[in-house]
Amino acid sequence: MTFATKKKYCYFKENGITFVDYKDVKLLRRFVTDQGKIIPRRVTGSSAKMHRQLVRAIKQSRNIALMPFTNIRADG
Amino acid sequence: MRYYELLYIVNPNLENDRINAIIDEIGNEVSKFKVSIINHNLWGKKRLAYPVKNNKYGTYILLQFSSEQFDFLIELERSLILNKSVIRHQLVRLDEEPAKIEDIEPIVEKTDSPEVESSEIPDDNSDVDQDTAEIIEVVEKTEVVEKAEKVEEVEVAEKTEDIENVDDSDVEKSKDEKEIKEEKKEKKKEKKKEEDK
Repeated sequence: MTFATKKKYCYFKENGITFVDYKDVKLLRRFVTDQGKIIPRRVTGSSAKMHRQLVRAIKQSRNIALMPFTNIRADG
Repeated sequence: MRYYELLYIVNPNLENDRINAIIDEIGNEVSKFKVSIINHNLWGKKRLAYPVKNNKYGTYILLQFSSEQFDFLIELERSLILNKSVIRHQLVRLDEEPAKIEDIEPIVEKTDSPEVESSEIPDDNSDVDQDTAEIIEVVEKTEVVEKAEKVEEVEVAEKTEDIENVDDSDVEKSKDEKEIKEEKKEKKKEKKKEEDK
């Protein structure tokens, strides 16, 4: 019995994005869980090259308080 | 030629004049070092993802510049750390030349700012009438509130009396209950004795 798995594609390749900007919080939010953790590449399906850039961008935007390190529910 | 990007957060409690002064200050600081500034824009007040130095909000300012040298960056960062109104900064090297941004509209987040109130300037006389009406309403409300308070006081007094009564009765009841229990125990003992016999 085989499970029908949906093929994952790199979001950046599909949308023609070659550079991930750390100021683009709206984009980065897609690759982060509700808690603020970075979603692994095996889940998002993004290419290794873009994932490296993405991780760097998320960490930079955390440093400048655009994105949270952790998201606690109580902060409302 | 290298391109750099500096994003820094300024204390949100400062006035607009003070923020402009800081922008000029840092612009001058950067332009000391044979640097050509490409962009220097005010993003506006934004909510921070986490509190920085006990500030929930921060005013973001973006500075993009290009330079041949790079040894001055340490000095620049040092001056930013020493600047007390700059809460946090981040200096990043860009791979490509950034596009020139002409006019950014400052992001205005929903906060209770006094500017909104000042913009509503009363022009008509009808506003005055409304004001007086409001005052009358307020007076009425206060009267009602006073009445309500009196009523509450009375009620509270009654309740306390009730509670006292209840307490007494409870004590009596508890006494009764104890007595009843004791009687029952005695009865049981008697029954047992009879059974034994």
